[in-house]
Amino acid sequence: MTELKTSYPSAQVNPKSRFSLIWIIPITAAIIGGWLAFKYYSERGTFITIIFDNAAGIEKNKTPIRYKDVQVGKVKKLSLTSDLKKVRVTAEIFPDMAENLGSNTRFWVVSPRITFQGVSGIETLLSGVHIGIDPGTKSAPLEIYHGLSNPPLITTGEKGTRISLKTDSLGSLDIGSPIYYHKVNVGEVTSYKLNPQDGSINIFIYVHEPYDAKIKTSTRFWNASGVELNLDSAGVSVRMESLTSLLIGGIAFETAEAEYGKELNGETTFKLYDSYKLANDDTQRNNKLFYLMYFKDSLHGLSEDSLVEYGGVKVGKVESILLAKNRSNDQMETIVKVSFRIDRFSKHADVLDAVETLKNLVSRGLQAQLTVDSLVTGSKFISLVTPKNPPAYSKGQQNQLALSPSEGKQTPIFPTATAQASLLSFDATEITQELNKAISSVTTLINSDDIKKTLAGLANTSESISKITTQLENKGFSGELMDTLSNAKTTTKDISLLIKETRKTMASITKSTSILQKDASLSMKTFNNVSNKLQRDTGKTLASIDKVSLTLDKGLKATLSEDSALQYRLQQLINELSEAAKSFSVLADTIQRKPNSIILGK
Amino acid sequence: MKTARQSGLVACHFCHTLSKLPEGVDDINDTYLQCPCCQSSIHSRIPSSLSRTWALLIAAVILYIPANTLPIMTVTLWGDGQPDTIMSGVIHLMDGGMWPLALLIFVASIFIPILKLIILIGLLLSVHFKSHWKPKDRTVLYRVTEFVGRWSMVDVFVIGILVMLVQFGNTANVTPDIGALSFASVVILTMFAAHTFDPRLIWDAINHEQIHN
Repeated sequence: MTELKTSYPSAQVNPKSRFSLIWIIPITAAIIGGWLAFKYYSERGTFITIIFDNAAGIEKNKTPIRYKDVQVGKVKKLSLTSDLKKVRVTAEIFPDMAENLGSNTRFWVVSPRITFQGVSGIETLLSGVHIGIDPGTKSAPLEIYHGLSNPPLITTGEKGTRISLKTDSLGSLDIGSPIYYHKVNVGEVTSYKLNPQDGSINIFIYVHEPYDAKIKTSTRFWNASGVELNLDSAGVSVRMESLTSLLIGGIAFETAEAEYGKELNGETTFKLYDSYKLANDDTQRNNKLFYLMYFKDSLHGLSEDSLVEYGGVKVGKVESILLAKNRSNDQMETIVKVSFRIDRFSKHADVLDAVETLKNLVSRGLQAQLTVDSLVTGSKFISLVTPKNPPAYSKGQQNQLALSPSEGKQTPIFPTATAQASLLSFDATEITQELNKAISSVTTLINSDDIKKTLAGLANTSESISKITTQLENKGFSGELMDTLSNAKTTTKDISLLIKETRKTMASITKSTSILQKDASLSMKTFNNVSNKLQRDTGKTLASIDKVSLTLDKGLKATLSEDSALQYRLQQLINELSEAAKSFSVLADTIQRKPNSIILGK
Repeated sequence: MKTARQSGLVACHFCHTLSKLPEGVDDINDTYLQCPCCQSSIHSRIPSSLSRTWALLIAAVILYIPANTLPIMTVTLWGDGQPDTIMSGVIHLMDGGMWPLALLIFVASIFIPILKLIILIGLLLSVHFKSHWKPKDRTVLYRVTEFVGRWSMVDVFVIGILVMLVQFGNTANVTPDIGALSFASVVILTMFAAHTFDPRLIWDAINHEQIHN
């Protein structure tokens, strides 16, 4: 053994450092482990409990809580409440969101939703539902939150104005119905509430920035649900905000630029009008002047909301139509209560200014008159007109027409006039009567002895003139006299010709008139034809008459004395004829423009 | 029966030259021996075997905690995915009815690493206290540990392959998580720990006793 031992070479001995580097490994592991543990605990969020009506697809350890599509938490546990009515969801909220939890933090389940306004949450079809969170304002967090059944319409981050609208019926409005401003969707209905006391409904809406700045104290809101159809003097008008509002209702608003509105201060309540028309027509009571009007005409065709116009401009409307007993003669009479818009009579919508303006107008003879608006519907409106011969008011009457706003006193009376027998209430007999008169005067004129005499005289004159002429010719008179004489000769011939023609025309007028009388009320077409013919004839007649008068003037000046009866009668005839012709052409014009006025006018 | 060490000899691992241990040198801890023939490092026992094994083992134990509590990978299918730890993966497989696969993953990823850690700690303690208890069985245990250790890497390889193959964007996607790294570290560390442990130390205590007796 020792032999063996000695025969082996000896191993070389080197010193070795005492510290082994192997301990770096567990130290590193410890550092890594410690860091992981720290990371885990620092990333561990706050645990909260949310109570939902049902779990609707929420899964334990899976369903995320998302804010703006960023995961901010996770469902950790699902259980039922002890009474089995609700679901208790225990969720972990990550630290950065946990800091922002507050007492008004809201949670809701985001699931696919298809509404008329659009489709939302479609991404959850594949990924499964998630829980949405609206952190709200920062405040002390709660431990138990109650989840919403629907996603909130307005989240905390959005800016805008909350407005309350008062109405009598909700109509087709619902939560989520859009709000329109100039047909732009600027907000939505957030909630509504029925007041048990008076049955009115408060609708709460939210208008986003920057559109909420458009809402002033003078803003008017109206229910823009469905289609608004108006039939009035302007014809048929249809108004619709959008297809969405047709389906799910909507509210629109407008702020009139001209009106003075103040900025809103805090949550304000507005009235919700039923339609655009109502919203547009309505003015505040203190923007109106009320008057009573007593009309002697039939009020058929006049209704509440009928217009009051001045020079074709809308200045007011009929508020109500009443029947009342006249104290003085115990008869029933119609009273029309109208309202005038102050801003139409005064630039700055000042009451006293408006009253002063109206007073001035009335003292100058302004009167209210019923006017037919549309022949189709037979509706009427009240127009304010100043007749050619304004009624002269005595001092006492003037005082009665003191058009001041009556505070506690009786409503002042506005002067009225009977309706004009206008073309619209056209009566054919009136015209025929006039025509007959004119024709008879023409006939008498033509048949009068004066004319006959004149004609005979004229013939004589012409004869003698021709005699003189020939004599003069024979005697070789100068050309000038000759011209004059020959002129006189042709003139006389012309006159006789024209008179003959006039006679013919008159005959044709008489014929036409009889046709007109027969057919006027029967056939529009015939009337049209007749009137055309009349127009033509009258034009012709007029031209002829003008010619006649001119030539006659010329001839008669040369031959007859100026103040003869013939000249006077002729002048009268011409006047009458031209008047008749004028009224005919007006009639013809009217008929051409509105053929139906024949049927519906009266 | 006499060991080389008891005979005062040490063999070179490369040239297999037998050389004499210098008198009065305890090679295990303080000295660094060189083969007189090929100059390579020689030792009769793995130097600082116990402390090295302890160090690696402690590191493995520390990392074993995140390896099991943190997710090892995230499987995203149709945009919907959630991270899985080893245990939750096993439970998912079991829920899916894949019992054999679940069992394999469980054995390879949970049972074996923990068994290895326990066996190695047990062996270290037994050497430390110079235990005489069934040295043959303990050697068998050590061999099993060393042999079976590498199979724990199955899980890490599965993750590696999945991450590599399943990359279809939102449709299907596998991403590794920090747990996988920890787990791989645990497996590697235990393998090294098993490697640095010198089973001859089990017998040394007994031989000393025998010699002394």
